[in-house]
Amino acid sequence: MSTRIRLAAVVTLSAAALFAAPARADGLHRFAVIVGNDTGGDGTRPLLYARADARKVYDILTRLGGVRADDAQLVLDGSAQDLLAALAATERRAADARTHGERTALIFYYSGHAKDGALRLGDTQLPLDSLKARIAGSPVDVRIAILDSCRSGELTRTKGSTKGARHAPAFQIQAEGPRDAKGLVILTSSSSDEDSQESDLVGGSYFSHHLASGLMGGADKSGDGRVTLFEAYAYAYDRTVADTAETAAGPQHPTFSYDLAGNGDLVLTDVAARREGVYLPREAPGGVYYLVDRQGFIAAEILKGEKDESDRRIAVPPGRYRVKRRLADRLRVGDIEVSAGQMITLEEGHLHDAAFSDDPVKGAMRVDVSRWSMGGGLGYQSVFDAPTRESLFPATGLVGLDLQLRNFFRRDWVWGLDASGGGASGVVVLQSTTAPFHFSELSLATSLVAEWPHGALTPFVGGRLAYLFMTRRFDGDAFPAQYFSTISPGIVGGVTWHLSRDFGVVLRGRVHYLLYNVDENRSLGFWELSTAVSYAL
Amino acid sequence: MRSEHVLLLVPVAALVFLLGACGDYSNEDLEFMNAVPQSSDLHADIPAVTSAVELADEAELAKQTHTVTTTFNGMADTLVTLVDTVRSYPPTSRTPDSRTWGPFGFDKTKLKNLDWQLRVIVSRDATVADRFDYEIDVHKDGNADTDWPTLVSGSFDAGHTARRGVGQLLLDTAKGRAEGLDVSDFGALDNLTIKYDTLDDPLTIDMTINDLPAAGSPDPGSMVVYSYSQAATGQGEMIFDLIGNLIAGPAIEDLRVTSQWLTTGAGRATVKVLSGDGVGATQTECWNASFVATYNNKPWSAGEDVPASPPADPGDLCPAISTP
Repeated sequence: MSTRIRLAAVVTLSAAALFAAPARADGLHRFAVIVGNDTGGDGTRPLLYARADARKVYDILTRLGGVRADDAQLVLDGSAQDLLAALAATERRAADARTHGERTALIFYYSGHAKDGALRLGDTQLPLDSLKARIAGSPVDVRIAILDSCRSGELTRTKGSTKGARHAPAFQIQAEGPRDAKGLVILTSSSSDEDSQESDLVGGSYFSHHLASGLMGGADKSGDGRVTLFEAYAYAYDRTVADTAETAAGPQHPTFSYDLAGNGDLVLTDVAARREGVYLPREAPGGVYYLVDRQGFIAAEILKGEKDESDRRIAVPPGRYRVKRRLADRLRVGDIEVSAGQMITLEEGHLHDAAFSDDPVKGAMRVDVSRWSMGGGLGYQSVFDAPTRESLFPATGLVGLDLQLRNFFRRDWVWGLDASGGGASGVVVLQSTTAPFHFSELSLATSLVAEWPHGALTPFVGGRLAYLFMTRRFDGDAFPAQYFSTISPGIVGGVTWHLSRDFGVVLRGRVHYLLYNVDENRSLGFWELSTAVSYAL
Repeated sequence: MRSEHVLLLVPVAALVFLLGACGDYSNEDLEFMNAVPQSSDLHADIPAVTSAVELADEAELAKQTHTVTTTFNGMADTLVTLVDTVRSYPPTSRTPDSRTWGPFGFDKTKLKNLDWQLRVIVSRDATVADRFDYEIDVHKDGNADTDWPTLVSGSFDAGHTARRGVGQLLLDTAKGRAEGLDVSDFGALDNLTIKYDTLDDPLTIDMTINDLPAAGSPDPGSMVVYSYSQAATGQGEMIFDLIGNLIAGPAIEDLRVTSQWLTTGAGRATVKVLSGDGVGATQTECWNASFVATYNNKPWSAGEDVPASPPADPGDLCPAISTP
């Protein structure tokens, strides 16, 4: 049960205002290199959400952070060389901007593995010292490095320097004009001896999740609609420590290092200028507000004080969300839909009470993360043995439909049901005559495959069990129709090319075992090749 | 994977494997089915009389040939119907060298032989390569399980060519009658033998019909022998002997009719008394494509001659037909 929140106030902006880059009002030409890599080579276990975190940060910086898409590089599952190449390309653009008299800023974000003093990007490594030196030497005025990886706090440890890592909120920033700011700021997700943790509930790492929530407005304590670097860090720090305090891995403490001439703060996102998302009036009850997306992930998590003196804006992207606020004895939940260019006011009256068992995040999470997809396509099937192919089971074109459920048994496992049918002509050569026939086949199958998402391409391999029903009818009814049915185990492999979030093209190969036992017991095999278009429901 | 899902999948997977493979999808079955003759194998083809021809105008021996051909095909169809089960249904059971259809009950709508069953067995002959033997056996309920007298037996030698092969079959109604089977549908038929060769040119079918003696008659039952051949060109020949007391008198006659035709329908026939009363007498008749007599030399009935005084050598009055 849910209550759809009516639009108490809808502000429609002009397209020009919508796509403006408000954060560039400070005069900084902003560039970004955003890196996400789930794999870290030998001795590491694949992460689940590093790439998702990178995508989320990329979206926020280009949508709210004044970074033009042209000036942002997103490197997913790339190597150290890819990272450095992206950095070099961005530096060239920044240097070009400086020659035109622009003040420039570089935001570097990394989510992935780090171990033994180096970033681990797949099978390649990039020493932290080297990275730090590289960023420090970038030809820009302001450099911001954000690392979300285990023991990333090593990057903020500076020998012999009084400017070192700090834990928020133990520092004060003198709010001088940001135009004066020059230098390097480093944010890390954990200290030098801590792991950085991921969460299935938030669909990302704790630190990046809270940093993102902060940048979307959660960190805007001042209520001016602009989230500064220090506001974002302080918010991410508080929420990360709070969330990880009770985890098995123990509390995780983000660190902060700054070396800014002028000590000026920087506005990272301008949620007021965007004027799109959810508007939380100052009189709204305090507590943590969760905005849960359609996949069941927490898109934004906002801590609102009981006595906030200003309204809050949460600049989530357009979409449908379920809002949840947790009370001591129950939940308050409701649905909202954010349209492009609209700011939806969230009123308490449109939430309703719900039991903890109806938590849209916990409990329902697994179901929501699991995702159905369906597809249809064409294929071709052929028995390996040539004589059998010529006279018994002719090679056949197939038309098929399939239904798949992802992440139900286990993340990146796909359980599938498929049906296909086809027909072909063949001829049986008997001792004294020939018997032309038409062959038909119906296949119903279930499969379980493992996927390895790799950018736009997702290879997969697994097992399949098919029920085959084959018939043939002879020309002129010279002989009675015949049928054969059997259970056929096999293996399946292929690759999905993701055209968009919902659509993909699947190229698939199958090899199956076929026990034929009418005339005699024969072990046969057949292969299939097919292509299909899939759509995520 | 969640443990409860694993526990569910294991019995499901075991069940589907136990179901195994099943069906009648078999090339070997086709070989066994193909051993029994089908209608086209045992069919005599002669150009039919068209509506443009008054039946009364049809030449006497052309009409006789049509009548005999109809009888011939009817008898052949009788046998084909008996073995047609093999070509209409998948076998009931299989061994590496045989297929069995049945046992089945007889057609209950005919209210005959309700306590009898029949089965068809086609087997690969172990002694002759590419030969199949087949039989239709009958069994009376209550008799010993091994008591399956054979009503129809046959064999087929596959030809390894596009044409079929060489075969023969015997319908032994006498045996069925002796076992107590009601074979009244076959009338006075005692046995019927067909031998066919569809492998070589010309195609040949020989049919021998033995009837029971007429009730109260001291004479043996009549026997009719048909020999049909057809060349690849389409021209055909039917030779049949009529054996019995066909002419008034004490002797048993054997009349041999040899009828030949072209694909156009034009043909000629001779009747010769081989034995019995009037032995040696010969009639020759020819007809055109409309089956109208063009020549008839019938020594024992000069009034039917065509023309009125037919020459000994018909010449152009008869079509030139070589023996197929």
